[in-house]
Amino acid sequence: MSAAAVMAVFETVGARTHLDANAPRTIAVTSSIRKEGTSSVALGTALSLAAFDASSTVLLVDANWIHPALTEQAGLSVARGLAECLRDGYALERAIVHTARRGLSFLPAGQSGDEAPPLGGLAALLGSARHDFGKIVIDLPPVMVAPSLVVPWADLADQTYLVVRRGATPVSVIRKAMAEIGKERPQLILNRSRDRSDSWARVG
Amino acid sequence: MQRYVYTARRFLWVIVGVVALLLVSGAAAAYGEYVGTFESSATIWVQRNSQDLLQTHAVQTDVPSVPDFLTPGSEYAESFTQLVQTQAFLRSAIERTSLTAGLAGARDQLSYLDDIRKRFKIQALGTNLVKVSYRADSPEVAFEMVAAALAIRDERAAAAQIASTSMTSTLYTKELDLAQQKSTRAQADLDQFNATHTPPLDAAEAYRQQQLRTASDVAQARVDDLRAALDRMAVVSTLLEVGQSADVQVIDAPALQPQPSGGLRQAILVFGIVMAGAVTLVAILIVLGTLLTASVASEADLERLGAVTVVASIPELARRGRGDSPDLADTLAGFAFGSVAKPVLVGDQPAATEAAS
Repeated sequence: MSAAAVMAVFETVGARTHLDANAPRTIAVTSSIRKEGTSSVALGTALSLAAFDASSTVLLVDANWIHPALTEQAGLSVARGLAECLRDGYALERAIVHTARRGLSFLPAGQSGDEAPPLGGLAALLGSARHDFGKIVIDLPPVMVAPSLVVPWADLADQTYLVVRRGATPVSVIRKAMAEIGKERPQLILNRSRDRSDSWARVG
Repeated sequence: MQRYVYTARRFLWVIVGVVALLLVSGAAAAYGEYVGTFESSATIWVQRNSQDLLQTHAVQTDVPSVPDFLTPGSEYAESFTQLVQTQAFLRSAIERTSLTAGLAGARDQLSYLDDIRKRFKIQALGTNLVKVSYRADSPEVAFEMVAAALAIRDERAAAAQIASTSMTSTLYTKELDLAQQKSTRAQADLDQFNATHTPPLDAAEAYRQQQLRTASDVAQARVDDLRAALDRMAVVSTLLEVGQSADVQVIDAPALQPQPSGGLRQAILVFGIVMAGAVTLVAILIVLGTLLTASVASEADLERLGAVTVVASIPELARRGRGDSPDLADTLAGFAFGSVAKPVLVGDQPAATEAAS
């Protein structure tokens, strides 16, 4: 299977986000517990958004300081990033790196240290990012693991996707996670689905 | 339903392990039951000739009686089955076998006898044919038990019939004594009348004399009948002994069976019970697994969470090869940040590995 075919997996998410009547520009992606595939879904969503509209620019933010998988995959584990922007006022445009995909930029997690960076400047940082990018996709830690690192982002984001991995996430935990996020109508993405006839997006 | 199917898939190897374990243990138990069971049996021909000997009154064919409903075979089987229900019969049978010590040493003798009772099997094979069999752990015991049971049953039946005949004889003897007393009195009355009345007799006296003579004759006839009945009873006991041997004939005598036999049904039963247990256990596992984990198996499960929007389903990707095939995360990372090989979608045709840009 080609890379394009793999990307087709996420076309649904990109298309729905683009065609959403509310036109969300900031999309936070989180999960209930670990190992649900949040980083992959965030990355896939960012790639599909970048591919969907060639004129659009997309910023992928790795805000998962607990396990910065995207930063590691990008080979930017020691690079300055989001943590420095929030804690030290490091310039956002200097922390952002361009990826191999046209229209997709990446903000690595940075060095968070023992203490999580202050989130007081989050709104300003997101405002600055909105100014430069058409869409912003944020990879967040699991909400039940670190709600304090998720809820502020979810409050500021236009849309929050809760990733649910088939056969892994207990239903009771999903309910608690949805309550923690506090959205009126939670947006869910089922990961590792085996519903062969149902791969396209649908509104429940 | 899909949730249960998913749980079954999720715990497939656990289920396979449980079923395999129970399958092996069930097969071993069934095999042990089969090779450790020895059955000895006797086939018996039964008829009712001796009862016909006792038939002293005319048979009323329009009035059904018990013998008309029960064939000799079923009657014999029924009476044998009833005998086996009694502890006395079982004890008598055991005393004639090598199980005597086992019964004496049994902590719970009632349970021991109950176990012995369950090992007997009595079947009416036809109107006159009966099969008596016994299952044991050794061929000797099976043979001994069948032989002992048949012998005791026959002895008891003969003893019961002879006892019945003796009772009838005693009754006839008592009746004969009474009849003889009545006859003596009647004759004495007639002799006294003849001594006190000399001919010629008037009409009333002649009538009285006739009455006394008739009473004496009737009493004497009764005495003669009872004497004849007593004479018959004297030979009935002998007839019964001869008739009994003709009534019950052992066609196939019990024999030692050195090869395992008679345990197939029990073995199948044991195996079936174990398999039923395995199915039940697997069902319980699946239900409990589904209820306890209660994870999401499909979009339908997500929609049951309430007012939610299912944005998309990301299908599971299958690895093309083993070991070094990248997963979705690596593929996406390679696509965005570097160069790695690609996996394939579940159910898709394998495609050539290609490098991402």
